[in-house]
Amino acid sequence: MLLFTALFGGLMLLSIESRRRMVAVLLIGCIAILGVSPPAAQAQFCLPCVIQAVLATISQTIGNWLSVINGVVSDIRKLYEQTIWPISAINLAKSQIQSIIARFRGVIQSIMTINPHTATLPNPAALENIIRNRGTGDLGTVPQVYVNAFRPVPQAGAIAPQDRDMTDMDDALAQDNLMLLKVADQAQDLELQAADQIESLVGNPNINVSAPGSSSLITAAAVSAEIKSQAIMQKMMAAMLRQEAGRVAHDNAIRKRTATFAGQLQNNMTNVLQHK
Amino acid sequence: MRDQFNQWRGKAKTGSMHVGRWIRRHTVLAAVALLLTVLISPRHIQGQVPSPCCAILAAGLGTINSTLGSVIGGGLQAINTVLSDISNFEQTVIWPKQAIAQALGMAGQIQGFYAQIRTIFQIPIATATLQNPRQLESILLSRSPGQIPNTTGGYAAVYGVVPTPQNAPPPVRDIIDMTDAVAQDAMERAIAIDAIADQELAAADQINTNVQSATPGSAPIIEAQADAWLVRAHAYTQSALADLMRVRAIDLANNGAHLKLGSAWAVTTQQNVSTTLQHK
Repeated sequence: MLLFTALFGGLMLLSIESRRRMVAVLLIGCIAILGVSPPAAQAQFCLPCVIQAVLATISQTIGNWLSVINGVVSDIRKLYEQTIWPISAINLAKSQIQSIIARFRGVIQSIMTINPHTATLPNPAALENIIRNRGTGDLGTVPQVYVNAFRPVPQAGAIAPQDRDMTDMDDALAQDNLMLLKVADQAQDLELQAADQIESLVGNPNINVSAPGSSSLITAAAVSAEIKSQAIMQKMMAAMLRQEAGRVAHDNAIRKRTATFAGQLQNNMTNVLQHK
Repeated sequence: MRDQFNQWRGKAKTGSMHVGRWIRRHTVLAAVALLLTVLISPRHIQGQVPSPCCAILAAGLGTINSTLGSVIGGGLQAINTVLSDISNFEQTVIWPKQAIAQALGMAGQIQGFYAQIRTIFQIPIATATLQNPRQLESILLSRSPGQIPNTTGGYAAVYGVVPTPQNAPPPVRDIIDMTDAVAQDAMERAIAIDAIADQELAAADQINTNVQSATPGSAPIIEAQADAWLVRAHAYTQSALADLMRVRAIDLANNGAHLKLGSAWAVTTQQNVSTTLQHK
């Protein structure tokens, strides 16, 4: 740069005689110097400082955050494994279920096998047997066995028509309910089987058979079974209601007839006394 | 030799003077030539030899790399380990697929049990033999609310109607009418409760079917609905029990009324007998 400046300076000295030449050389020199002059130097930045700052960010900020996240995730694992679903508690619950099964199921089943049969004569014994056998396969034989024990409706002419109707209705309501109870008995047995299976499944010690996560499905299914159980209960209540209504209606029909007979008797006696 | 040197120096001096003279004459041209020389002359550039700046940068980047590996990589690896443990725990202890399949299978089995129950409850049980009882029985066992209005006619055909005022005193007619009413009400409610029970069985079937396509996460939602149905079912059972208690209450009231009417008639009879004896 200095060299070029000196050279252009020399040329200007040589052209000192002519002002125009000197100006021309000056201009060309200026352009040349501008061309070769270095650009303005930028102030030098502190590279180690920048690297140190990045390292600090990584190790302190990000590293600390990762430690915090790891701590939270570890806490969640600890919560799952030690507080919410400890394997020991799961196994304890299952063993408690097994213990309750062992303690009560057999006893209750043996109690339910007690099926009293106390009739002594053939026809009552047959009816008692059929109404307590908890099966529906012989449902069609109930009316005949019932008639054998309680006798059929009297023939027309052998009883007053209204009494005949009421007798038939009483028999029908009684037989219907005896048959419905056989159905209900079988339904109860099936419900007991369902309950046993649910209990055995949830108490199964194998985690691949019963787990905390699968119990919600079993519970939902069990609740739907409860609804059905209630529906069956309602059917039995409806049958009992029919039976009670029939009994009250029968008593009331006798009351009606008694009142009618009393009224007629009173009229007849009045007539007799008036004739005297 | 010396002469030759002096000769060369003279020539050089002469040449320089010629050049100087030429430059003096063509100053601008020389300046332009110098400018071109300046412009096309190579610039000073940095050599390939590493500078101290590059060395610092390389060391810094190496440190950053190792820090990333140890701090972030190590931290992420630790988190990954814990998350893997949690995932494994959830898959093998809390929600094992086999256990979920077993639970879904149990829902299917329960549905099977109740399908059997439903079938046996549909076995016809009507046994009345005469026309009027058979008609009333078919209404009572119909499980159809549409049959409820026919109950009154069927009931009257079997159990008769309230006696006329000529045939029975007012207290007796009241008792008979009330008793008929509660008996008929109970029969009508029995039809309604049967129909409701059928609807509940169908709804429970639907709920059970929904359970079979549920997941452990969605099952509690279905269970909540089933619980609501259970509450409803309990209410209907209580309603049936209430109707039964009404029938029993009227029955008890009838027993009391018999005593009341009997004592009243006894007093009247006693008075009549006394009056008759006094006349004699």
